[in-house]
Amino acid sequence: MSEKVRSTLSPRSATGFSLPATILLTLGLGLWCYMFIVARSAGTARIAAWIVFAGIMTLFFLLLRTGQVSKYRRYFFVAIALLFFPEFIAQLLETRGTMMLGAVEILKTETPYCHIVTSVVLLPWLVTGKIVFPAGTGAIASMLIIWGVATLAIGRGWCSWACFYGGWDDGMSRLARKPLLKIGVTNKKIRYFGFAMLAFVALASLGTLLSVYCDWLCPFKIVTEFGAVDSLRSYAAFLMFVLLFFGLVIVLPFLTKKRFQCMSFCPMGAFQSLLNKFNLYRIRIDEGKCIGCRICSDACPTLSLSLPETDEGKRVPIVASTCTRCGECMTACPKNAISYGYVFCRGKSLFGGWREKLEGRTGAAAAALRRITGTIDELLSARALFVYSGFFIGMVFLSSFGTGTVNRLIRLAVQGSFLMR
Amino acid sequence: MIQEGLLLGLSTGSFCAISCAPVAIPFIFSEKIDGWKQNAGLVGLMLLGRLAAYIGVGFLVGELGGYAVRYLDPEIQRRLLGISNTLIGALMIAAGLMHNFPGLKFCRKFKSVYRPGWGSFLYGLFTGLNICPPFFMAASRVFGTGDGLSGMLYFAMFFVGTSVFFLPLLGVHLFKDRLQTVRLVARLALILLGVYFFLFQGLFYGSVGRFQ
Repeated sequence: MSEKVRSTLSPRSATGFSLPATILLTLGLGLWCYMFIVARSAGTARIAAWIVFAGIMTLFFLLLRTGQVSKYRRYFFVAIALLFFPEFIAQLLETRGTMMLGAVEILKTETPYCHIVTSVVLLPWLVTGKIVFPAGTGAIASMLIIWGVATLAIGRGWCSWACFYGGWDDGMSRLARKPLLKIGVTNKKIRYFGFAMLAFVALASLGTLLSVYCDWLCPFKIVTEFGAVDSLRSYAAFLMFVLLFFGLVIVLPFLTKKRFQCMSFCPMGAFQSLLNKFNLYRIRIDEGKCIGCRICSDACPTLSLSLPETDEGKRVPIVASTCTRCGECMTACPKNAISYGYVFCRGKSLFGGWREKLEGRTGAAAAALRRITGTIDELLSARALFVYSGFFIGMVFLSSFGTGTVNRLIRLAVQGSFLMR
Repeated sequence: MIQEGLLLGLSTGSFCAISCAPVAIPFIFSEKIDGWKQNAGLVGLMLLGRLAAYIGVGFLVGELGGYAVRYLDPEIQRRLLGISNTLIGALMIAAGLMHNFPGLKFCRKFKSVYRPGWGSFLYGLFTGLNICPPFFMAASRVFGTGDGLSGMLYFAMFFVGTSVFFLPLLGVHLFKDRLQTVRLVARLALILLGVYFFLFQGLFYGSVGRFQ
């Protein structure tokens, strides 16, 4: 399809959920949100908790009602990232007095454990039985439980809904109106570079029994914690962290409008891609509706839509395992051909048969039944349950860190201090 | 003594395999392999390279006897390890670039001289010179003999014992041909691991130790 024809196509307005389905889903999430965020807080933190609660509920309601999944997901996702770091850093400053990780914390195995480490330490652990990272068993176990449940629920959707790092490059990739640096949407070397990173850090960590990624390559070290800068080695490592953060998380996403860090560098992202099939959801492309315009593949921030040539010459995209289920392709598609679907049910409706039986029947009872089955159908649709699961997992991370940051901001405004002590 | 070398290899060979995995796995997966014969040939040549290194070290350490203590000196060990890792890294980078950017002038030149068989042998040779703890144990046992031939024999049996842990590499061809993406990933990983070996495990480690 020529560029001229493509430029005339515009995204269709998204279809939102009905008001009853929206209210029911929002109430369902609101209950969990109340238990995780508001009920656990006390004192001034309760005000912060209510603010975070209201923010999550508003975004979730708007997402459902307008059907603009990618837009409100992004707001939520960026908020997770921006609210995570201030609280994390403040806690380090309060407990250690510095963001730097000293020998004492390493010896005491008190280093905070993030999910990216899992992809790094898994192979050495499987082969040698040793975890090459100085974290306590409790920290590792709790992160693994959250990550395991999330992976079973939304697969690599983790990288667009829950990861507290991903919001940085997701947000940066949306700042420019058009890509200032174009990269081929079918560039396999860029798409699969993340897998090479995974192979590299896993094998290098196995060979050296060191956490190579954390020691040298994590772009988020400078906004979390890093080894004490007191030697030639640590200066070099710190310089690497700074370059990687600004290069991969800020500059390249801004220039290319692609999530460079998540797509091509994060070993955890590649690891999630390997596990992407072990959950209920898939991205479905309706071949009947698709006109092969490739707008979706241009919009995909992780180059996850490949374009094989079909017999008729039409190019219907194929969703790769690297898809983070962010919903950008759905928003961009001019024919509404892309949607969330279940792995076991290719049809859109679970209760379609019921409603067909009610077609043509008149009367208040039939109308009420049609409405009820329609709402149940919406509630049990893959789209509803996927975005519900995504928001739920993201909310778990926001619950403590988000509330903490908002609480500190209130404290900063009222008492002039961001730190508690 | 023959039995002892074999048992030492069998009991500690997993450590050798772990040390060599970052080199062996991306190399084998990055090569275009048509069948089991070619795969077995590459693995065999890699093992042959290790055998050559082991026998050479075994002979030298056995022959030199007490003088070989210098070879086991930590400072010399570190420098040797740094050199072998630098060479491994350079080979991996060159091979990775050749696979990924065949159009570059350097890559065209390198391709004209590069043969997977030779590459495999050299990888084996350089990794075989790595003084990992099992290797150190074998060397310490041999330098007391004062006999080069005994040293060679001991290391040859040690090699046989450790080689058991490399046998899984013979199965690479079974699923590799179905996954072209694996080859692409392995070729990219070859460059990354090459840079890591060349700089961090090679130049930096060999010159300033733990790079502190």
